[in-house]
Amino acid sequence: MKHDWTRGEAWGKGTAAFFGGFVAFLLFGLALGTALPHLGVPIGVAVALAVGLSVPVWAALIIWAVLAPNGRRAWLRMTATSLALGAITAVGYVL
Amino acid sequence: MDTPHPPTASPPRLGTEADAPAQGKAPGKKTKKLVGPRAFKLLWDSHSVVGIVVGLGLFVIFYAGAFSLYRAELIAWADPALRAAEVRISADEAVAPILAEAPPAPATDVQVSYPVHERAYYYVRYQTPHGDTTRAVQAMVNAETGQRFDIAEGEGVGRSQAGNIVYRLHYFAQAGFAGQVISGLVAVFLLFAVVSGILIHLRKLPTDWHTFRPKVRLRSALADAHTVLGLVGLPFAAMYAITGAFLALLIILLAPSVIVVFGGDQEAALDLVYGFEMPPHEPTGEPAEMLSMNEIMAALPDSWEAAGVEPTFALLHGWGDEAAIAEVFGDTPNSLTAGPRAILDASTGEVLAANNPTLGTALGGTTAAITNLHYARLGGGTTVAKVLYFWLALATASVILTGNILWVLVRRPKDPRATPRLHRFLARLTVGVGCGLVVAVPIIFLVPQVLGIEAEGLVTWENAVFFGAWAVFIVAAFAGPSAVWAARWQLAMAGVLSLLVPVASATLGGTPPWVSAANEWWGLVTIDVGFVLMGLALLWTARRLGPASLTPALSGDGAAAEPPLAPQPVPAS
Repeated sequence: MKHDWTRGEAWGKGTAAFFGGFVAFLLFGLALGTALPHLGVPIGVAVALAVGLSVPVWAALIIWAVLAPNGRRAWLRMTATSLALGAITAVGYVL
Repeated sequence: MDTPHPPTASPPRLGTEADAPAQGKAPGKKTKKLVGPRAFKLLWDSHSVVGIVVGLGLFVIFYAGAFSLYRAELIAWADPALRAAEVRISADEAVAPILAEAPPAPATDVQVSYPVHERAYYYVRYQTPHGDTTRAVQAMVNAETGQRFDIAEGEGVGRSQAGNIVYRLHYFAQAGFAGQVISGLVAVFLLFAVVSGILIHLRKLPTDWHTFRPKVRLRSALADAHTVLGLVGLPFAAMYAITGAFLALLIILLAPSVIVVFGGDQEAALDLVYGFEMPPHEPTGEPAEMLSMNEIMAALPDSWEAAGVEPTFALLHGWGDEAAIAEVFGDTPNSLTAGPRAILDASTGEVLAANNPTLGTALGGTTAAITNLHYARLGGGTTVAKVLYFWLALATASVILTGNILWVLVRRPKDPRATPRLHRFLARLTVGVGCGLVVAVPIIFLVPQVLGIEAEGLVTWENAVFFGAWAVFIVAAFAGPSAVWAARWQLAMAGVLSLLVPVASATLGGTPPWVSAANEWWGLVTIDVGFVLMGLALLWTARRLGPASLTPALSGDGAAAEPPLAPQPVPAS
């Protein structure tokens, strides 16, 4: 290994990338599907964007989690992303 | 970010020389780097670990996926009843007798598949009441001879299921929905591996992508092969990562959207895919005279004929009822995003709804493009695309396997006997799973030839022999003196068996390639020639792993007979 990994860092980043990334992956699709139509984007286009971009977004989140300073910060990044996407979904749904 | 980079006449190679962050500072020349030293280390490590964790799963997906591209041809290759050079039987001749047996308004819809692309038969399926439950009735009709075969419930088309077993393995379908989800998750991490691979190799891309030295020591040759094949297949691997994850995780991805965005209305989501609302078709219980399949096809919108759309599939809802409708799907040539669909009254032929056959909706076009890209339905025809996909899939599988082996080699201690137990286990597991699958694939295609297509319980035998042989080769990889030794004899065996596949087909239950060529069964010729080429390539690889390049440290044991390898200079490229 080139980096000096601690067990906590490895598990923290790994679980954040997998589980945190998965939640964000689902919420990303919902956020686009609920919010974009309020911005004038047809719902079909919104869902198509969600479908097409969700997987690359998850992969990008995995990289973001890996590059975090430590496991806790990786979880913080995933949690913040999920909360933001959840808030967008909630607002889009309520409106 | 500008960071120092050592000037080298011969660029350092993956796993052979020191890697970038460890290269230290060199005076003078500065090279643009996309990631800093810390990010490089983190990405390098995570790229390696992800490769190790999901690598074998990815290898199975890509290797089985390469053969899945030729699923229809493999099924027809194994079963003579499914071969046809041209369509001589009309849909009415093929389908009408089967539909006549269906009770009025059967419990579910009737499916009718047309002989298009590689498929040389009509396929009909419907559900019929069976006590408190329903029973599937399915049959296929050869499009050239008209020969009909009834298919037992739960079984696929063709008396041999060898092609389908390998196809289902491609997305772990033998493990049910969980297997499919796992294959999707593996694909997501493949995308991560691809992106992280780009980031860590970007600096050396200009030299790496054309540096291949098969005659130097095994470790360098493997490193070269890993990098070159990985770079050549990069867009392909990225495409498959995205489309594969999409197809495998589609239900998980769309289910929350259907609930939240569409309020649980699945039909509304499908309407967005197809571009129109489904007309009402609740059965009334009143029987009515149905149009024949040919009459339904003749009543399709003029726009279909203008666009050259070929009908591929029809769903007959409430067949025999006065409210029955025919939902017809088609294939538009030279279009990646179109998804032609028309709804007709099954009694009158009136077109109730139809979408644009040349341009899909945003959602429909996206899903069609992803699906067509994944199944190699592009390029104005499938032959060239499929050949390209096949070899790129094998190249990607090789990248994955060489990545695992390199991981072990790079960490090799000077004394091979000191190789950690985990590394030995990984080396042998890689050989057992990887090379074992390469042997098991030709074996499964020998089963219908050896036992005969009419053999009782043929599908059970195919499953048992395929998975049994694979398990035996995994165990055998742990039993031999070294991992390289196991890889060598397994690849040699795979090569011989691959060469035997067309021989067995020609002499036992199948058809010689020259007869297939005379009958214009080009799909079958492709299978025979493909196995010969694979056999020769596997034998060459086994020979390449011969004693001259034997690397005892790949397993760690066997070191007593083999002295540790001395460091060798890497020749300038």
